[in-house]
Amino acid sequence: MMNFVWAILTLIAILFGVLLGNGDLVAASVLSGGESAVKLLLTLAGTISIWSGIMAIADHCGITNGLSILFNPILKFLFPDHKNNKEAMNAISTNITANLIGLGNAATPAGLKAVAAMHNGGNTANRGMSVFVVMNTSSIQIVPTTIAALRLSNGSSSPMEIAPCIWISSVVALAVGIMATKICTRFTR
Amino acid sequence: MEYIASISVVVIIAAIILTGLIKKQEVFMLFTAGALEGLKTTLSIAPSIIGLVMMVTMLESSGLFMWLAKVLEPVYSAVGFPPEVIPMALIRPVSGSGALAVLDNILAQNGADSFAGRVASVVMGSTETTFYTIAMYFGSVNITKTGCTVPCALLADFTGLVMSVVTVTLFFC
Repeated sequence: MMNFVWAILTLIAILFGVLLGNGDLVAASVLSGGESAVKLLLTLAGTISIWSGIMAIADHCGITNGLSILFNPILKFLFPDHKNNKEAMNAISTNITANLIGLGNAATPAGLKAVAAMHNGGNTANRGMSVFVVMNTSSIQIVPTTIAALRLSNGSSSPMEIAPCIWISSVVALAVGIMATKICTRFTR
Repeated sequence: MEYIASISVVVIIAAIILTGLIKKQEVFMLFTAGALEGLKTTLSIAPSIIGLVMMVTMLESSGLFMWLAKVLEPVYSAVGFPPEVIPMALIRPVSGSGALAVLDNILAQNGADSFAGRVASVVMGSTETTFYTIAMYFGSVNITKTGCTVPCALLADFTGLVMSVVTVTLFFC
Protein backbone atom coordinates (compact mmCIF):
# COMPACT_ATOMS: atom_id res chain seq x y z
CA MET A 1 0.00 0.00 0.00
CA MET A 2 2.78 2.47 0.86
CA ASN A 3 4.52 1.56 -2.43
CA PHE A 4 1.36 2.45 -4.27
CA VAL A 5 0.57 5.62 -2.29
CA TRP A 6 4.11 6.99 -2.61
CA ALA A 7 4.45 6.27 -6.34
CA ILE A 8 0.99 7.60 -7.25
CA LEU A 9 1.33 10.80 -5.19
CA THR A 10 4.80 11.53 -6.63
CA LEU A 11 3.52 11.00 -10.19
CA ILE A 12 0.44 13.15 -9.48
CA ALA A 13 2.69 15.95 -8.18
CA ILE A 14 4.74 15.86 -11.41
CA LEU A 15 1.70 15.61 -13.69
CA PHE A 16 -0.29 18.41 -12.01
CA GLY A 17 2.82 20.56 -11.59
CA VAL A 18 3.36 20.49 -15.34
CA LEU A 19 -0.36 20.90 -16.18
CA LEU A 20 -0.88 23.81 -13.76
CA GLY A 21 2.26 25.57 -14.98
CA ASN A 22 4.25 24.90 -11.82
CA GLY A 23 6.64 22.37 -13.40
CA ASP A 24 9.72 24.47 -12.60
CA LEU A 25 8.68 24.75 -8.93
CA VAL A 26 8.16 20.99 -8.70
CA ALA A 27 11.58 20.36 -10.28
CA ALA A 28 13.23 22.70 -7.79
CA SER A 29 11.40 21.08 -4.87
CA VAL A 30 12.86 17.61 -5.59
CA LEU A 31 16.24 18.63 -4.20
CA SER A 32 14.99 21.13 -1.62
CA GLY A 33 12.78 18.30 -0.35
CA GLY A 34 15.89 16.19 0.24
CA GLU A 35 17.49 19.05 2.10
CA SER A 36 14.52 19.67 4.37
CA ALA A 37 14.26 15.92 5.02
CA VAL A 38 17.84 15.82 6.30
CA LYS A 39 17.25 18.92 8.43
CA LEU A 40 14.16 17.25 9.90
CA LEU A 41 16.20 14.08 10.57
CA LEU A 42 18.88 16.07 12.40
CA THR A 43 16.23 17.58 14.69
CA LEU A 44 14.65 14.15 15.13
CA ALA A 45 18.04 12.55 15.89
CA GLY A 46 18.47 14.94 18.81
CA THR A 47 15.01 14.58 20.32
CA ILE A 48 14.74 10.82 19.71
CA SER A 49 18.19 10.16 21.26
CA ILE A 50 17.52 12.30 24.30
CA TRP A 51 14.11 10.78 24.98
CA SER A 52 15.43 7.25 24.35
CA GLY A 53 18.13 7.98 26.94
CA ILE A 54 15.66 9.33 29.51
CA MET A 55 13.32 6.42 28.81
CA ALA A 56 16.13 3.90 29.32
CA ILE A 57 16.50 5.26 32.86
CA ALA A 58 12.72 5.09 33.38
CA ASP A 59 12.72 1.48 32.09
CA HIS A 60 15.37 0.37 34.57
CA CYS A 61 13.59 2.03 37.50
CA GLY A 62 10.34 0.17 36.78
CA ILE A 63 8.47 3.36 35.84
CA THR A 64 7.36 2.13 32.40
CA ASN A 65 6.43 -1.20 33.96
CA GLY A 66 4.17 0.66 36.38
CA LEU A 67 2.53 2.51 33.51
CA SER A 68 1.80 -0.72 31.66
CA ILE A 69 0.11 -2.19 34.76
CA LEU A 70 -2.04 0.96 34.86
CA PHE A 71 -3.01 0.63 31.18
CA ASN A 72 -3.29 -3.17 31.27
CA PRO A 73 -7.12 -3.44 30.94
CA ILE A 74 -7.20 -1.23 27.81
CA LEU A 75 -4.09 -2.84 26.30
CA LYS A 76 -5.50 -6.37 26.72
CA PHE A 77 -8.53 -5.34 24.67
CA LEU A 78 -6.56 -3.42 22.00
CA PHE A 79 -3.65 -5.82 21.59
CA PRO A 80 -4.83 -9.36 22.49
CA ASP A 81 -2.06 -10.96 20.36
CA HIS A 82 0.69 -9.16 22.26
CA LYS A 83 -0.65 -9.12 25.85
CA ASN A 84 2.20 -11.37 27.08
CA ASN A 85 4.85 -9.36 25.23
CA LYS A 86 6.21 -7.30 28.13
CA GLU A 87 8.53 -5.14 26.01
CA ALA A 88 5.75 -4.16 23.61
CA MET A 89 3.25 -3.46 26.42
CA ASN A 90 5.76 -1.22 28.27
CA ALA A 91 6.61 0.73 25.10
CA ILE A 92 2.93 1.16 24.13
CA SER A 93 2.10 2.46 27.64
CA THR A 94 4.93 4.98 27.46
CA ASN A 95 3.79 6.06 23.98
CA ILE A 96 0.18 6.59 25.15
CA THR A 97 1.29 8.53 28.25
CA ALA A 98 3.62 10.78 26.25
CA ASN A 99 0.90 11.47 23.64
CA LEU A 100 -1.68 12.31 26.32
CA ILE A 101 0.56 14.85 28.07
CA GLY A 102 1.55 16.39 24.75
CA LEU A 103 5.15 15.15 24.58
CA GLY A 104 5.11 14.11 20.91
CA ASN A 105 8.92 13.96 20.88
CA ALA A 106 8.95 11.39 23.65
CA ALA A 107 6.06 9.42 22.12
CA THR A 108 7.97 8.74 18.88
CA PRO A 109 10.92 6.68 20.25
CA ALA A 110 8.57 4.69 22.51
CA GLY A 111 6.29 4.06 19.53
CA LEU A 112 9.16 2.91 17.33
CA LYS A 113 10.21 0.52 20.10
CA ALA A 114 6.66 -0.82 20.37
CA VAL A 115 6.43 -1.46 16.62
CA ALA A 116 9.82 -3.24 16.65
CA ALA A 117 8.70 -5.39 19.61
CA MET A 118 5.45 -6.39 17.87
CA HIS A 119 7.21 -7.09 14.56
CA ASN A 120 7.52 -10.82 13.94
CA GLY A 121 9.57 -10.78 10.75
CA GLY A 122 8.38 -10.41 7.18
CA ASN A 123 7.09 -7.36 5.37
CA THR A 124 3.41 -7.61 6.36
CA ALA A 125 1.86 -5.58 9.18
CA ASN A 126 0.19 -7.72 11.85
CA ARG A 127 -3.02 -6.86 13.73
CA GLY A 128 -1.34 -5.23 16.71
CA MET A 129 0.88 -3.05 14.55
CA SER A 130 -2.07 -1.83 12.47
CA VAL A 131 -4.11 -0.90 15.54
CA PHE A 132 -1.10 0.82 17.11
CA VAL A 133 -0.22 2.91 14.04
CA VAL A 134 -3.87 3.95 13.52
CA MET A 135 -3.95 4.98 17.21
CA ASN A 136 -0.93 7.18 16.60
CA THR A 137 -2.48 8.78 13.50
CA SER A 138 -5.39 10.06 15.61
CA SER A 139 -3.87 10.75 18.99
CA ILE A 140 -5.54 12.93 21.62
CA GLN A 141 -4.12 16.32 22.59
CA ILE A 142 -5.26 17.49 26.02
CA VAL A 143 -3.71 20.98 25.90
CA PRO A 144 -3.45 22.23 22.29
CA THR A 145 -0.68 24.77 22.97
CA THR A 146 0.51 25.41 19.40
CA ILE A 147 -3.01 25.99 18.09
CA ALA A 148 -3.90 28.24 21.03
CA ALA A 149 -0.75 30.30 20.43
CA LEU A 150 -1.65 30.75 16.74
CA ARG A 151 -5.22 31.75 17.67
CA LEU A 152 -3.94 34.25 20.21
CA SER A 153 -1.57 35.83 17.70
CA ASN A 154 -4.51 36.17 15.28
CA GLY A 155 -6.60 38.08 17.84
CA SER A 156 -8.80 35.37 19.38
CA SER A 157 -10.61 36.57 22.49
CA SER A 158 -10.46 33.06 23.99
CA PRO A 159 -7.75 30.94 22.32
CA MET A 160 -8.39 27.78 24.40
CA GLU A 161 -12.20 27.73 23.91
CA ILE A 162 -11.88 25.14 21.12
CA ALA A 163 -10.23 22.54 23.42
CA PRO A 164 -13.48 20.65 24.28
CA CYS A 165 -14.33 20.42 20.55
CA ILE A 166 -10.85 18.98 19.92
CA TRP A 167 -11.26 16.40 22.72
CA ILE A 168 -14.65 15.19 21.47
CA SER A 169 -13.57 15.12 17.81
CA SER A 170 -10.36 13.22 18.52
CA VAL A 171 -12.00 10.70 20.85
CA VAL A 172 -14.68 9.92 18.24
CA ALA A 173 -12.07 9.78 15.42
CA LEU A 174 -9.85 7.52 17.53
CA ALA A 175 -12.74 5.18 18.39
CA VAL A 176 -13.84 4.97 14.74
CA GLY A 177 -10.23 4.31 13.64
CA ILE A 178 -9.69 1.53 16.19
CA MET A 179 -13.06 -0.16 15.54
CA ALA A 180 -12.48 -0.01 11.76
CA THR A 181 -9.02 -1.54 12.13
CA LYS A 182 -10.34 -4.29 14.43
CA ILE A 183 -13.13 -5.16 11.98
CA CYS A 184 -10.88 -4.85 8.90
CA THR A 185 -8.08 -7.05 10.29
CA ARG A 186 -10.62 -9.71 11.27
CA PHE A 187 -11.78 -10.05 7.67
CA THR A 188 -8.38 -9.92 5.96
CA ARG A 189 -6.68 -12.57 8.03
CA MET B 1 -0.57 27.90 30.32
CA GLU B 2 2.37 27.96 27.89
CA TYR B 3 4.68 28.17 30.89
CA ILE B 4 3.14 25.20 32.72
CA ALA B 5 3.26 23.12 29.53
CA SER B 6 6.92 23.88 28.94
CA ILE B 7 8.11 23.27 32.50
CA SER B 8 6.20 19.97 32.69
CA VAL B 9 8.87 18.49 30.39
CA VAL B 10 11.76 19.26 32.73
CA VAL B 11 9.74 18.22 35.79
CA ILE B 12 9.22 14.79 34.21
CA ILE B 13 12.93 14.49 33.35
CA ALA B 14 13.88 15.50 36.91
CA ALA B 15 11.47 12.94 38.39
CA ILE B 16 12.88 10.13 36.24
CA ILE B 17 16.53 10.97 37.06
CA LEU B 18 15.73 11.30 40.78
CA THR B 19 13.99 7.91 40.80
CA GLY B 20 17.07 6.46 39.10
CA LEU B 21 19.36 7.91 41.76
CA ILE B 22 17.13 6.69 44.60
CA LYS B 23 17.12 3.18 43.12
CA LYS B 24 20.94 3.39 42.84
CA GLN B 25 21.05 3.00 39.05
CA GLU B 26 23.97 4.11 36.88
CA VAL B 27 21.85 6.84 35.32
CA PHE B 28 24.42 8.28 32.91
CA MET B 29 25.39 4.83 31.57
CA LEU B 30 21.70 4.04 31.06
CA PHE B 31 21.16 7.39 29.33
CA THR B 32 24.03 6.93 26.87
CA ALA B 33 22.98 3.34 26.08
CA GLY B 34 19.46 4.61 25.37
CA ALA B 35 20.73 7.54 23.31
CA LEU B 36 22.77 5.14 21.14
CA GLU B 37 19.59 3.13 20.52
CA GLY B 38 17.90 6.43 19.61
CA LEU B 39 20.54 7.26 17.02
CA LYS B 40 20.18 3.79 15.47
CA THR B 41 16.40 4.29 15.43
CA THR B 42 16.76 7.63 13.65
CA LEU B 43 18.96 5.99 11.02
CA SER B 44 16.37 3.24 10.49
CA ILE B 45 13.58 5.76 9.78
CA ALA B 46 15.79 8.07 7.66
CA PRO B 47 15.17 6.48 4.21
CA SER B 48 11.38 6.56 4.51
CA ILE B 49 11.41 10.13 5.88
CA ILE B 50 13.56 11.31 2.94
CA GLY B 51 11.29 9.62 0.42
CA LEU B 52 8.17 11.02 2.03
CA VAL B 53 9.39 14.59 2.47
CA MET B 54 10.51 14.65 -1.16
CA MET B 55 7.02 13.55 -2.28
CA VAL B 56 5.25 16.03 0.02
CA THR B 57 7.39 19.01 -1.04
CA MET B 58 6.69 18.16 -4.68
CA LEU B 59 2.95 17.92 -3.99
CA GLU B 60 2.92 21.26 -2.19
CA SER B 61 4.76 23.10 -4.95
CA SER B 62 2.65 21.52 -7.73
CA GLY B 63 -0.36 23.69 -6.77
CA LEU B 64 -2.54 20.56 -6.59
CA PHE B 65 -4.01 21.35 -3.16
CA MET B 66 -5.27 24.81 -4.16
CA TRP B 67 -6.66 23.43 -7.44
CA LEU B 68 -8.43 20.54 -5.65
CA ALA B 69 -9.81 22.96 -3.05
CA LYS B 70 -11.40 24.99 -5.85
CA VAL B 71 -12.80 21.91 -7.64
CA LEU B 72 -14.21 20.36 -4.46
CA GLU B 73 -15.77 23.57 -3.13
CA PRO B 74 -19.37 22.84 -4.28
CA VAL B 75 -19.24 19.35 -2.74
CA TYR B 76 -18.02 20.59 0.63
CA SER B 77 -20.37 23.59 0.70
CA ALA B 78 -23.31 21.29 0.04
CA VAL B 79 -22.60 19.36 3.27
CA GLY B 80 -21.99 22.51 5.33
CA PHE B 81 -18.20 22.30 5.47
CA PRO B 82 -16.70 25.82 5.39
CA PRO B 83 -14.92 26.18 2.00
CA GLU B 84 -12.05 28.17 3.56
CA VAL B 85 -10.99 25.07 5.49
CA ILE B 86 -10.75 22.74 2.43
CA PRO B 87 -7.02 23.35 1.67
CA MET B 88 -6.30 22.57 5.32
CA ALA B 89 -8.29 19.30 5.21
CA LEU B 90 -6.38 18.22 2.09
CA ILE B 91 -2.90 19.09 3.32
CA ARG B 92 -3.26 17.88 6.95
CA PRO B 93 -2.62 14.13 6.35
CA VAL B 94 0.63 14.74 4.46
CA SER B 95 2.28 17.76 6.07
CA GLY B 96 2.09 19.04 9.66
CA SER B 97 4.08 22.23 9.06
CA GLY B 98 2.15 22.88 5.83
CA ALA B 99 -1.16 22.52 7.67
CA LEU B 100 0.04 24.89 10.41
CA ALA B 101 0.89 27.51 7.76
CA VAL B 102 -2.56 27.09 6.16
CA LEU B 103 -4.21 27.37 9.61
CA ASP B 104 -2.37 30.62 10.30
CA ASN B 105 -3.56 31.95 6.95
CA ILE B 106 -7.20 30.92 7.59
CA LEU B 107 -7.15 32.56 11.05
CA ALA B 108 -5.67 35.77 9.61
CA GLN B 109 -8.15 35.93 6.68
CA ASN B 110 -11.38 34.98 8.50
CA GLY B 111 -10.63 35.84 12.13
CA ALA B 112 -9.72 33.33 14.83
CA ASP B 113 -13.23 33.40 16.34
CA SER B 114 -15.12 32.96 13.04
CA PHE B 115 -16.85 29.67 12.18
CA ALA B 116 -14.14 28.77 9.63
CA GLY B 117 -11.38 29.78 12.05
CA ARG B 118 -12.77 27.59 14.83
CA VAL B 119 -13.38 24.60 12.54
CA ALA B 120 -9.84 24.88 11.13
CA SER B 121 -8.40 24.98 14.68
CA VAL B 122 -10.36 21.87 15.69
CA VAL B 123 -9.33 20.04 12.48
CA MET B 124 -5.69 20.84 13.26
CA GLY B 125 -6.02 19.52 16.83
CA SER B 126 -8.05 16.40 16.20
CA THR B 127 -6.27 14.93 13.17
CA GLU B 128 -2.67 13.89 12.58
CA THR B 129 0.00 13.83 9.89
CA THR B 130 -1.24 10.38 8.89
CA PHE B 131 1.06 9.46 6.00
CA TYR B 132 4.16 10.64 7.84
CA THR B 133 3.24 8.57 10.91
CA ILE B 134 2.52 5.45 8.85
CA ALA B 135 5.71 5.78 6.76
CA MET B 136 7.85 6.36 9.84
CA TYR B 137 6.55 3.44 11.94
CA PHE B 138 6.36 0.89 9.14
CA GLY B 139 9.54 2.14 7.46
CA SER B 140 11.49 1.51 10.67
CA VAL B 141 10.83 -2.25 10.44
CA ASN B 142 10.68 -2.52 6.62
CA ILE B 143 6.98 -3.23 6.37
CA THR B 144 5.53 -2.61 2.90
CA LYS B 145 2.25 -4.54 3.13
CA THR B 146 0.33 -2.29 5.52
CA GLY B 147 -3.01 -4.06 5.11
CA CYS B 148 -5.84 -2.21 6.85
CA THR B 149 -3.75 0.66 8.18
CA VAL B 150 -4.00 3.33 5.44
CA PRO B 151 -7.78 3.11 4.78
CA CYS B 152 -8.61 2.90 8.50
CA ALA B 153 -6.32 5.85 9.37
CA LEU B 154 -7.91 7.92 6.60
CA LEU B 155 -11.37 6.96 7.86
CA ALA B 156 -10.33 8.24 11.31
CA ASP B 157 -9.11 11.51 9.72
CA PHE B 158 -12.39 11.89 7.83
CA THR B 159 -14.32 11.30 11.08
CA GLY B 160 -12.19 14.03 12.67
CA LEU B 161 -13.17 16.44 9.86
CA VAL B 162 -16.89 15.71 10.20
CA MET B 163 -16.75 15.92 13.99
CA SER B 164 -14.94 19.28 13.83
CA VAL B 165 -17.89 20.84 11.99
CA VAL B 166 -20.41 19.06 14.25
CA THR B 167 -18.76 20.06 17.55
CA VAL B 168 -18.13 23.70 16.53
CA THR B 169 -21.76 23.97 15.40
CA LEU B 170 -23.00 22.49 18.72
CA PHE B 171 -20.74 24.55 20.95
CA PHE B 172 -20.71 27.94 19.23
CA CYS B 173 -23.76 28.34 16.97
